[in-house]
Amino acid sequence: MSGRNIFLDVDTGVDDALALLLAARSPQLNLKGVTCVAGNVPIDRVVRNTLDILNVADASHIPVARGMEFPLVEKMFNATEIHGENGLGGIDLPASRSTVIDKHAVEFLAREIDNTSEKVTVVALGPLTNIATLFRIYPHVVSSIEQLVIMGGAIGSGNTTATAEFNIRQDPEAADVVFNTDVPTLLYVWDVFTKVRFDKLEVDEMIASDNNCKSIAGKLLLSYLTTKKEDTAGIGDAGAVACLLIPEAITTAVMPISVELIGEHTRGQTVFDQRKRKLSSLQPKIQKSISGMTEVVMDLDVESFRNAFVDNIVK
Amino acid sequence: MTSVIIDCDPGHDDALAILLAAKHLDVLGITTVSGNESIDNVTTNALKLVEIGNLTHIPVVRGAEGPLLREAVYAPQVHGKSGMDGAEIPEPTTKLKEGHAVDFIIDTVMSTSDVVLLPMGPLTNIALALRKEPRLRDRVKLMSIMGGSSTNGNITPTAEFNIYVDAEAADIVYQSQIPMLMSGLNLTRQVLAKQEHIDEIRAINNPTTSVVADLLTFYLATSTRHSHDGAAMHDPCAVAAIIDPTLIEFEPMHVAVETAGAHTYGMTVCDDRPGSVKSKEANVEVAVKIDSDRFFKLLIDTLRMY
Repeated sequence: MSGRNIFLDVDTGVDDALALLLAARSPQLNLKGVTCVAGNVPIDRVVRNTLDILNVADASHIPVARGMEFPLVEKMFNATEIHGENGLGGIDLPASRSTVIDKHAVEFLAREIDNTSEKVTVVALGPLTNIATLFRIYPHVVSSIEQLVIMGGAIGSGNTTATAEFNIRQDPEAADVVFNTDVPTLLYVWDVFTKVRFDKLEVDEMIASDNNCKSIAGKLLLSYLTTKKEDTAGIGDAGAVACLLIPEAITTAVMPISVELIGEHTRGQTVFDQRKRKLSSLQPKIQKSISGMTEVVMDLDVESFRNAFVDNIVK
Repeated sequence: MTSVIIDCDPGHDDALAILLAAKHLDVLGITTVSGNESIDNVTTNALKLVEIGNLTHIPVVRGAEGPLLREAVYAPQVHGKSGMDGAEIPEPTTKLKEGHAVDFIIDTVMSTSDVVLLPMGPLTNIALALRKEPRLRDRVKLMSIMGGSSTNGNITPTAEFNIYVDAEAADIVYQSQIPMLMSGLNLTRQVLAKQEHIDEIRAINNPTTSVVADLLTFYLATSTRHSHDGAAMHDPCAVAAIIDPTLIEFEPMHVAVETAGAHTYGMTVCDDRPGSVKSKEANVEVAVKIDSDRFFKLLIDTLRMY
């Protein structure tokens, strides 16, 4: 197998499904395993959807592990209004004959990372419950992670609240653990998440394709057009995977980040320090509020991302 | 002419705001509040300003010595030790008006129709007035405040100074249901005074403008030291919003003040998500865009009137 070794942590989810198709089909990536976490839909539904979508991608051999069923502290809430009751926008896929492996996602990840001679990349597309638990139980794995790509957080408005994005709002404590862990992190925020889109004509064209993956991708995008009542549908999480395929097409900034845990109006907000000169250097009592630094995707070349998506899912 | 009370903590930008307001609005009084500097310093500065502008007919009333709950935080890194460094201004001989700012605000608003409040510092006085006399809520016509931000902060990554210094007071004011215009950092950083503006003001060459030019020179230097491209005209924006509303574009939003967050204390949480997800009623007209050229024309033309 060639390509970059990656693990996907998902809460499938329409756009997680798109990300799985992209990761499974891209020759540049060696998808070594998929771990499931409760998020967009309950964990059992996430597992079912993940197995079924990998089957569509002709990737049933890739191990799938069931992970954390609830956030660390926060109550569970789902996003079925966006992803439909079944989490795949109501699309029925043929049931995969594969089953989950007999190991918890966190243990599976730790073992696989230990057993891989090269460093690995972990792409986390749901609440960070599995990843935080991994870092707390098996902290040594951190040194074997080349890059942690996270879809989560927002610089401007959020989607779940005025300031918080769903994945982080769903498990703010887990996010806090992860952002305070010293691991090279690329954050694919809500602000760019929504940028890579296809219109109805393009979606219909995908559905009509002879290629099954492309056709299913089209159907998934169509479900967004229907439920969100918008003119275009975004590839969402799949964009975070695309960052690995076309890193030259993103613009990033390295910034201090903290997760707000106790705000009355701001719980789950990712707080970035974008000030030109940090007043905190003059006022040490504020300094302690700045935890880690992270690399944030500030902008991307939309056309390159659209092409990378369509070209790779048919491979 | 619109009747206003200016509640302020001068402050370089407060100085410009007062001079701007006095030639276009009926300024019923200037009340001071602990903010950029101690209450003593900002009150002295307010008295100096009415003398410099020949505005001694406007009563100056001293207000709150510190925030409702927290220790005071000052901004000497921006405004210097006095709160208004940079110009040689004689010690004022004008006397303060007797009484407390909070009572002055209450008495004035209860006895005068359609008063507009122009709060430019921490919202301590306004919150206390609203608590002491709840009927103010129905008497105040409008508030145009300088404070908060719909984007980044200055004193912390998310909080603007005036709101951060007394977030509990701000919370009271934002929840008061009084019609409110908010000129936050997202707006005020669109109007940056540069050296050419200072030169133009100095060239007017009246006694007031030479002091203004000195003040602005100091303020531009501290702004530049903080890596800003010019001196932001924070407080004058809130005044301009009343003098000429066509200068500024507003968007109605629900704005909440965060008073509990570890990293977001003092943040004005502006819900600017597209309408379909907006969860609560708009309570603030948030200023989002200003015509910088027309703003400076208004400001400099006004300074010519001194």
